[in-house]
Amino acid sequence: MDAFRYPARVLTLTNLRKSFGRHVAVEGLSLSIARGEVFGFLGPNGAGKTTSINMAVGLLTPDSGTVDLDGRGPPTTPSVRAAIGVAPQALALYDDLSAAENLMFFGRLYGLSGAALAARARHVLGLVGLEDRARGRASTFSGGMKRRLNLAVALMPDPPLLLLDEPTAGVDPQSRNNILDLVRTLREQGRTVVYTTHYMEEAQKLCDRVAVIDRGRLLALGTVDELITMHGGRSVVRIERGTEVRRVETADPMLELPAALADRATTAVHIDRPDLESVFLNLTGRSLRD
Amino acid sequence: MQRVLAIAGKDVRLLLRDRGGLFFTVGLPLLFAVFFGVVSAGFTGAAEGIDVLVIDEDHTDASRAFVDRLKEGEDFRVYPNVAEQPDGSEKTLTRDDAAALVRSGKRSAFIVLPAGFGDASRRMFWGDPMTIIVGVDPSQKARAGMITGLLTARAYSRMQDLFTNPAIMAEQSRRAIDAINADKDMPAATRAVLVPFLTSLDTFSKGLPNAAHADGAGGAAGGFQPVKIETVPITLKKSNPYSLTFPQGILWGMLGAAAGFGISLVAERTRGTLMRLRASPASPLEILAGKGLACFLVIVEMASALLILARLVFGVVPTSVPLLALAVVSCALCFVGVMMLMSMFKTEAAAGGGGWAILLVLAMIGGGMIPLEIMGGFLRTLSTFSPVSWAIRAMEGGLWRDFTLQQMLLPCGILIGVGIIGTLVGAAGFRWSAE
Ligand SMILES: Nc1ncnc2c1ncn2[C@@H]1O[C@H](COP(=O)(O)OP(=O)(O)O)[C@@H](O)[C@H]1O
Ligand SMILES: [Mg+2]
Repeated sequence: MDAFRYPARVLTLTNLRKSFGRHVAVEGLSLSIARGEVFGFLGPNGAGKTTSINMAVGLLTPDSGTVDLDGRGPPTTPSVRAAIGVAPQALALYDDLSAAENLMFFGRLYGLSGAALAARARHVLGLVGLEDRARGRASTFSGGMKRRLNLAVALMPDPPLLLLDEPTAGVDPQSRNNILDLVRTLREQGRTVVYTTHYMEEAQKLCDRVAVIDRGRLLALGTVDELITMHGGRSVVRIERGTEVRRVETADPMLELPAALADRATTAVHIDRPDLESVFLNLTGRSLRD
Repeated sequence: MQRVLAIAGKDVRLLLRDRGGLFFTVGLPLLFAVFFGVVSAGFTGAAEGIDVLVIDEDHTDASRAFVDRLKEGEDFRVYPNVAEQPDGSEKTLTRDDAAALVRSGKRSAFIVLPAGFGDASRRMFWGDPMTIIVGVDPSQKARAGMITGLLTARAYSRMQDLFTNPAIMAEQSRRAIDAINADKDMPAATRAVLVPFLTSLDTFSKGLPNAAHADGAGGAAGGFQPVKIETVPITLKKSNPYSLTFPQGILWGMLGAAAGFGISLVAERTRGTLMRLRASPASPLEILAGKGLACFLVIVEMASALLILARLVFGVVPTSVPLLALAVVSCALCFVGVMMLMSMFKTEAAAGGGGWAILLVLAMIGGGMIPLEIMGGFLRTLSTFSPVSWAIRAMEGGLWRDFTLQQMLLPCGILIGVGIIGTLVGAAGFRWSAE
């Protein structure tokens, strides 16, 4: 049956707008997320990613526009909300509870209990690589471990849709790899993941489709290849002759190679293909890292 | 309901792990109850006015005048021996009724002017001295001694009047001479001395200026006893000081719990977990109900534990366990409302500073530090505006004041009312996001 529903729209945002006072945080945002995809929200700090996520889960009421979950209406209804697992950008954990206790508490809110609850908590701890620290208080965890626990809480109800808001913010490389692997595993299991980040490498490596947003507006949406083809601009071939560097912009860098290689003075050839950074630069005139 | 229980369970667990919170909800109350109990054992603070119930069984001008005399000054707060019945009629209280009132602590003592008091007060030199019966707890030695002393002083001042009022003096002498003449057993020699003396005294007193409050009166009276004070021991139920300090201690625990859970509700918002709760299937009502339930349970458990300890270790035997339970539950509901009001603060610091300050004031004017018993008139009136005073009254009502269910209804009703209003106002004013 599921096969027939794919690629059904799991989450549809229509013309969302949200302002805080006179400041417009999100404006005219429309997009739909298909079942089973990893969908990236890429944009610099303050772009409106968190505001969009919070509207999607019903924590913020949009000034206008609608949110629909799987055809079942807005997430303001508790049963509709139950299908979403959220890992907020701001860590939301009880410092004085252990990792397992945090998980079990939130699991209970989703109706889990007894042996199933304990088993689920153990399983989820394994997923984020914290099985050894089940009894450790969250207050004693490193930043990366807290991030992983924060993500684990979102996994507790085993939800079909996961909203992960900057799940790698401020973590060590080991935790980052664990988290990226986990997202890949989730996709293999057929879950839908919405992933916000201001790291273009993560979006590029992980996401099936990426929405580039800036200043509350959706600038472009597509697969990574589509975005680069449409907005990335041309590749740059850098041909080095000792200390002299020649740059050639071209749509097809392969065509430049024979001539460069034929020249005996050439010491090195680099091909800089456009990436999501170039996409952002071309769309906004600014760098993502600003 | 599972969600409400999950939230409540989580909050109780968090409290048990928070040493500061645990100290304010359990440690401080216990310390308060035991420490002040030890300090005040055998000593009950000198009252600003002693509540006495006066029963005039004599019904003479003299006994009425004596009652009026008791009302003079600040020493006694005199209550008449009538009580309003539920049906509106008035009932005259007997000595037994009075004893019950003293036993339960509603009055400090009772004073009976027995039949024959007026007659005795008019004679000085013969017959039995005037007798006053005082019912007071013998273990409260300071109070008993104070009452005896004050009554004796009043009686002496009555003597002074006798000496300085020529009309009474003349009658005194005449009645004394008559009595001497009538007494066949009196030796003739004695009679020969007394009759001229009394006659001359009569003459002398007629020449005295009216205002002369002569020291001689006291001197003359020194040789005989103007008043005989018979003490009837009435053992006070709360003569155990712990029956006063445990309700106070428990009250501090309730304040601690209300403040602690109020602050933790603010912290849910500032620390981001409220977001997570709201994103879960839990409704806003369930989230607040979970917090309220945690506060309620902690208060009930803390109060029960302290009361059991008071019973087992400190010998505080409640007069009514069901009424005491009613009082504790009412108090818990009240302080859940207080907790909800505390949660309206924006930051934890504001709730911890401003919120506590307000609670401290309510506690101080409500008898959390100074017992309501010894508060003066103004403070006593002010205390009725603090839910703390009603909480103490309700607990004492079930612990030793021997309240009837009907008498419990007012304090418990007020407590539950405060709880409901606080909860509604707090829930309506609760900030769900930091927006
Ligand atoms: N609660 C709030 N009150 C006022 N302004 C806010 C609030 N939340 C977000 N903003 C503003 O809205 C814009 C978008 O913020 P946000 O959605 O957090 O961006 P991102 O998650 O992409 O970094 C920012 O300019 C931010 O300052
Ligand atoms: Mg953000």
